[in-house]
Amino acid sequence: MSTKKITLLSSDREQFIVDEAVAIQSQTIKNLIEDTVPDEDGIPLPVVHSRILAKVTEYLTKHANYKPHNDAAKEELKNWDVKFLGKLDNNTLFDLILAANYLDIKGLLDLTCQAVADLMKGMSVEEVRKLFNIENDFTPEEEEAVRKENQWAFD
Amino acid sequence: MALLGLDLMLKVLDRLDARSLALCLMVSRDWNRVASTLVYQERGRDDYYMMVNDNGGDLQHLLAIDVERVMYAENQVKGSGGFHFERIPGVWKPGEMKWGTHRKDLGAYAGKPGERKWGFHRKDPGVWKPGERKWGTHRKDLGVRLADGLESWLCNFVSGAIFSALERSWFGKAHIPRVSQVRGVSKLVAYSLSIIDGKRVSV
Repeated sequence: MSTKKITLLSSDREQFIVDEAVAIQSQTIKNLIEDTVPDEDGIPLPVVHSRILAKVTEYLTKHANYKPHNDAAKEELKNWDVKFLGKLDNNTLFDLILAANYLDIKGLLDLTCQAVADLMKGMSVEEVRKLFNIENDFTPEEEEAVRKENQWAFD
Repeated sequence: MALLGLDLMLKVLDRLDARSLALCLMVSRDWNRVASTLVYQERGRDDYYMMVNDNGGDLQHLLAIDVERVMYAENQVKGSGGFHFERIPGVWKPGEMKWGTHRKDLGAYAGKPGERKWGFHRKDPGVWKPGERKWGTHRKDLGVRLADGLESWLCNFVSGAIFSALERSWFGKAHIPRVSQVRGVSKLVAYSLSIIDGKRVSV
């Protein structure tokens, strides 16, 4: 029995052909399939670049084809998630969060948000600024006041 | 904040331990504003609860809490007599929440509890005047007409957070950490953030 295939079209117009069961783990794609007539080229995902869509489909394919029924299987899937995250650089991780949010994939969104939180744990303030490319817009007086208010965190 | 946006940053910060969260207060003013809400939650400082009733009192409070901004909004919709919502008995389907204003042409839909769908709608297409802006939502039949200035006000503050408040009011209670004292946060923003925050601990 053949499985229905869905073509996804990235922002740079690269096609990704996946099983429907894989694609509809994304609530956004599921809604698009149900509510719209697809383009000839596929379902357009104009805010997801092929570099990120490749990662998204990798995650969805694994999770669609692997339904753990016992603790060992759950642990194996968890280990796969850890390895999946381990291959990502920070920029890709941020882009994946945005894509998971846009595509409404709860599992991937939770996984990537947790990964960023884990990344931040133990970082200094300066390291967090660097990670998120943030400029310190406090005046020295304000910064000192905030530091005093939360001295316990620096002890 | 710009990298991921407010909602996603809250998701990330919500997963931090109290110490890491407190360090985020030092990152920038924006981060301070957002992280403050969660820090107060983590440390359990003087939290209090506000009971919300079933007649729109929470949203009215939400809009009224920042008097200056509400006055501004009212000025932008001259002749409207203000801008507030109230629940319209008997209009909505079971489980749905619809909120009307005293302006007959505006209403709001907050979806079913937990559905997180929301939007404004116009009740009478004939009411819209040419040239006036319409603010759409993900639903094609929803939108709101806004005068200049009010659009940005509403986009900023009538966000998912407020409608989370509406949804939450369905359950009868909202949890509000004491964020109004955080420097640089308008009371309305603080309230909105606290509603997001509160979602974790009640319902």
